[in-house]
Amino acid sequence: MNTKLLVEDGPHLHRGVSVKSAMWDVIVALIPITLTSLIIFDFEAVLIIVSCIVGALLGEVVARVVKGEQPRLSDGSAMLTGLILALTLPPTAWWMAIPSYFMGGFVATAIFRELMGGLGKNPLNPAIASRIFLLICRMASVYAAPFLVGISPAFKPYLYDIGSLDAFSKATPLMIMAGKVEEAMPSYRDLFLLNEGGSLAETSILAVLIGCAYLVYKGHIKLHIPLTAIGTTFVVTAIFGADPIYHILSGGLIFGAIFMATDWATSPITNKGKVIFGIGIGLLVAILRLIFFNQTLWVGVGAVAFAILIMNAFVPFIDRVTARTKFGERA
Amino acid sequence: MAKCGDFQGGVHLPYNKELAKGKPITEVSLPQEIVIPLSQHIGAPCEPLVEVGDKVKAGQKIGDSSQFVSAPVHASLAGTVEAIEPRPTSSGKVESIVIKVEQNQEGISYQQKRDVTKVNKGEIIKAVKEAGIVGMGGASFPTSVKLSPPEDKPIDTILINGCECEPYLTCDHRMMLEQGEELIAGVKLLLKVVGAKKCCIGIEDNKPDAINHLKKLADDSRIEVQAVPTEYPQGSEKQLIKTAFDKEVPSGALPFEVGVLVQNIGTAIAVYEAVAYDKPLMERVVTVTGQNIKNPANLLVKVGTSVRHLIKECGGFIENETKVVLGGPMTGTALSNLSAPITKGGNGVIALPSRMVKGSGDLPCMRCGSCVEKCPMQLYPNKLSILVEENDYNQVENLGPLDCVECGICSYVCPSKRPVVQQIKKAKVKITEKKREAGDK
Repeated sequence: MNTKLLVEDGPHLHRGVSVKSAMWDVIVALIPITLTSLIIFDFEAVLIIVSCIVGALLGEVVARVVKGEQPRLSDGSAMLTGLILALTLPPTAWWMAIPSYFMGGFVATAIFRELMGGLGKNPLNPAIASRIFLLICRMASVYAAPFLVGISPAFKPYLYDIGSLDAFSKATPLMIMAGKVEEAMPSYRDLFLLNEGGSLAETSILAVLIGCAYLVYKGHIKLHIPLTAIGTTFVVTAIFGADPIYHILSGGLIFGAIFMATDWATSPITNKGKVIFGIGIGLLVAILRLIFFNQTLWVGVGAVAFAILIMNAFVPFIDRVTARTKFGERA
Repeated sequence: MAKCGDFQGGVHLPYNKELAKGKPITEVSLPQEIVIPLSQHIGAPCEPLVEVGDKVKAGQKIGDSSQFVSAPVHASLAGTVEAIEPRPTSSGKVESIVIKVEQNQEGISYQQKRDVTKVNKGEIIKAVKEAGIVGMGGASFPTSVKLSPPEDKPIDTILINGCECEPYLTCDHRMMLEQGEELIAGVKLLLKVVGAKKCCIGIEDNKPDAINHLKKLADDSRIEVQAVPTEYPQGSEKQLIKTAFDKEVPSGALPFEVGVLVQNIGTAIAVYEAVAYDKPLMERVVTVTGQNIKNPANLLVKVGTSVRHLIKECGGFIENETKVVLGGPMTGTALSNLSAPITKGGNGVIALPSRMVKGSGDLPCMRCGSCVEKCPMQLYPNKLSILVEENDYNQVENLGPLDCVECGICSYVCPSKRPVVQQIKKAKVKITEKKREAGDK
């Protein structure tokens, strides 16, 4: 008998869930909401999704080569980051926007993932950090445009375009809530099933929840963070007399709480920590929206992204204060 | 009587016990040679009592030590000592006595030597020590030492570990079904030797036939059979104590700290056989199984028989490329040499096909938290493994790696396939060394 013995360290069984399979499962979970955004926004959505993903893939390759490491796109993490970033953006058909989406994807993986520690060690959620980066660039360009035109009239043709790129040019439910647009709010039912206000991920709560159910079924996320984040926003906005149902159904809260706040690398380890983290996000979303809606609109509209990013920064602290006691040391 | 608690963490595994659980214990044909390692236990190795060329009888003591923490070894078959040299075992090369087996074995029949209802404590411990009995669940700690706890720590409860929580293994299950009378008799001896008031036999609820069988046999009001949830690592003694009695053994302490003595099924039976018949621990039941073995079986194996002989006995491998694990699949060792002998603690031989090789990952820790959630000791395996990688042993110590029970769950769940449990084992070795050095100074 010509036996070849295979030797490796124990344990000799493995659960079978790999980083790669988990990443691809999240991508699969995003298919329903990606499809709804394609149905609603059609070509505009394709443009955003493709540019963000290409940017993210390239960002990872370039950053890893610069760091002297082998690129590894097959684990799906770069593609996932690009897709999530795309879903947080509002639609546009303007070709000139492609470079900014591409840059968003690139910055997400190259800077916020690879250069800030690498896979599993990045302190901030790359998609969110990049989303805010784009938001700030946008505001900067809006403020800078008249100034540029002042320098040279040659910039004049771009003035309108930059302005129209404004994320809030369409009547989103949040803007209607803020009283910035004179329009009737879409019904709860429309917000839940299908509507065209806001970013790609805001087109259907139902599609997001289907993806969520898949992730829970696969065991990749637990509901501690989404439930506490959404619940806290609901309660706080209700206390301050706003319509809590509109607040949780609009503005990407549910999408962010499910797909971004549960990111492995940037959320707390223990259940207790996850609850604190979720409450923090919910509280910040409510406060930012309630305070800034009437003043600095863009902060109010980006509330979910800001809330998650701020809470990302608290994760090491939350992990420390929720450190558990090991077996045999509990009184 | 017992309050059912539950330990935190743990996982449900693919058990694959169907392969062998219906196979009654059968004997093995005579091997050509047997290899008896002089150290099959935790503690001092034995010194050989025989020389090359000596004829030995089955059951003859051939190695012993004067140390307290040690256990003698016996020839498991009659034959001639061929060599005393280092031989490959599952834990590297170990000094062993090699015996060429005589093909005409005189039938050894064990005679009743003692009336087990009348023996006293001293006689029991002496018989157990002479028989070379060690814990047969894998850790192989000398039983005579375990039966002599410190005077100020009275044992009020004996816990018989019938969980067999490792996948694939069915030897304890078969022994409970086929040697139940001896088991109960062994339990009574254990109750007597430590002066305990009660005994709980904890069995995972995936073995209802064993639970019912032992409930019928337990004719003593002190003995209770308790079904415990099927969850890995239920058979780890600290976890089982938590489940059965809702007591936590303090960090760094042994079960006698909470008045409990834990014994394995095979060990309890061996105690009975040693006391009643003066039979040394020279054979044990081994489950030979796995998806890559032709005829899985539960075999009564002479200590020292090679793994190769057992595989042949079970029809050989299905695929030639295979992983062969000695012990359970979670805590066992993959063999690089099939000449390795079955020792007193060897409960299983598992042949896994090449498709079940895990392979290694090249990804860092993703902070997914699975190992933290599932760790039955509530450690932080993620941080421990990262610190070991960074050689930062000062911080490692604060995370309590010495409490690790080495169940392997952290590596089992890791999506990056990091060798987490190996890194923690490494930390344990380093810290123990550091402590010893500090102690020497």
